[in-house]
Amino acid sequence: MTHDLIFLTGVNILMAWSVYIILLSGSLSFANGGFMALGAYGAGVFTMKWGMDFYAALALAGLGTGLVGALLAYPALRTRGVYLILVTVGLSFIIQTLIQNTDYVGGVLGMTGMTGTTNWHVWGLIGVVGVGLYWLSRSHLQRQLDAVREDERVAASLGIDVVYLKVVCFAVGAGLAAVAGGLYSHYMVFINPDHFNIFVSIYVVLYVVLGGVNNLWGPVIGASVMTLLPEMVRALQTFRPLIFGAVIIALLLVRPNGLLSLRLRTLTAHKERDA
Amino acid sequence: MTTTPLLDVRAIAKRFGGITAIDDLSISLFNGDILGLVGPNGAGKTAFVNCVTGFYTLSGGAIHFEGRDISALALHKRGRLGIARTFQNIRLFRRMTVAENVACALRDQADKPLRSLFRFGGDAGFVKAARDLLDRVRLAHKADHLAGSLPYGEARRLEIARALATRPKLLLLDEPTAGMNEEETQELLADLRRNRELIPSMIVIEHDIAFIRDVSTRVVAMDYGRKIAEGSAAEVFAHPQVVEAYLGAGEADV
Repeated sequence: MTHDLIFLTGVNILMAWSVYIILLSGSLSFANGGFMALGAYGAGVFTMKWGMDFYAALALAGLGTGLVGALLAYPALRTRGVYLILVTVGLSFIIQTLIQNTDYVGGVLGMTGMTGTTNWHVWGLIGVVGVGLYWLSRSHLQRQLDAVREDERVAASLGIDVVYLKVVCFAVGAGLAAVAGGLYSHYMVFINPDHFNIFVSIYVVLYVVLGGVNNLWGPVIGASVMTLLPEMVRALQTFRPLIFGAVIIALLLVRPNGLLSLRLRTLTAHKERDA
Repeated sequence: MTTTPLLDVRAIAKRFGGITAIDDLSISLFNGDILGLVGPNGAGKTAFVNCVTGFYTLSGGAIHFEGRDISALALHKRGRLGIARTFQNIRLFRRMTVAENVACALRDQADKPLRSLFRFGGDAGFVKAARDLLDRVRLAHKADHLAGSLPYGEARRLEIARALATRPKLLLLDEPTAGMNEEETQELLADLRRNRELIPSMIVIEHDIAFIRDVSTRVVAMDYGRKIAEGSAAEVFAHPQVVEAYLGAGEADV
């Protein structure tokens, strides 16, 4: 049981980061539950039906979904703000409906037999992605992404290719969600389209918003707290959505920028003076 | 003497529905020119800057930069060609530090953003370049402050430093001294003079006539989206239509 909880927390951290990565360029995605489904089913098909190696299946599912993400992002990013959010919500529904109507992967009945994921896989990937995100947070790219998030028109006028950065972030975020989905399906053994409904996407966005959107630790804290909290208070488990709602309202009142909202600067100009 | 102009604006128009912001406006600018753009509020000066920098798409006409038609070019591509601007209503990246505002715009890295992930030498180059530019506008001491915390005059100077970080061939300043007192205005003028080697050519929108006289090599006056006069500062400010645009025609006060 604890084992499952550690696994679930890990997957949710990866999912929260997948939203965080897209948010780096200023887009909020409610499609990541859908991308997770693509990865879960994609990797499942690769190992179960095509006899592919587990790692190769994960990689292919991630890359394929990343590509799909990029192709979807290009037209989707022509819309902005609340309209982009609606487009991603639509994507989530479309992906779920497509899977429900694809008999090859079991339709509404789901798919079964995937195995192979251990907690080492999940937490190993968290380590790798975490190091990558930390490296990013110290880079010039992070600085340009921050500029895009602050004011994308001004950033563009300075020569920053805003659309390109947004598409890249969307693709990488979608790919990461897909790998998390592949890990999920090969742990759960059985999946059906309902495991990836719109609420999954909404929950994941809430992890990030509650944890804090300005640094890579915020999503980790948000995902951990919101996964573990309902489990700790076992009596309240049937009220999971209610706890969620209450915590959201409480946090938005107390810490509107998330639990951990500090933005880390990408450079310190006075370094040599302090030395 | 058949040099191509740096900027060649050919009969451009900008309409919003039935409202005409710019109508049949032609302006050309050669390398080394500092063009003062004057006119009453609503004359279309800022709209002109928005058209040149790509914030607006044209309703008609064409804009050439270094002989190349840039009328349909995206915002960031014009930035990379060497067109930079500041904003009448200051638009800094407020939650980033002063140094970061400059560093994110540094030209040599801007074109290949993903490549910066494979950079292992640390930030020394960016820090040095950013500090150098901040020094030039007397802001080095505030390098690690949040841009949003700067008072008005310093925010304007930071916008200029950020624009210079792109190594522009043409800098467009939209009312750089708006809201400044006489002393601050003089300091800004000195800043621009001191950094002349970084600003090959410039278009300045200003209401401060003395400032325009001091800084510009040529002046264009606009009213109702059209050019009404062009020439030296003395010529333009003596032009009857310009006087009329600013002070009103000689109709009796009712």
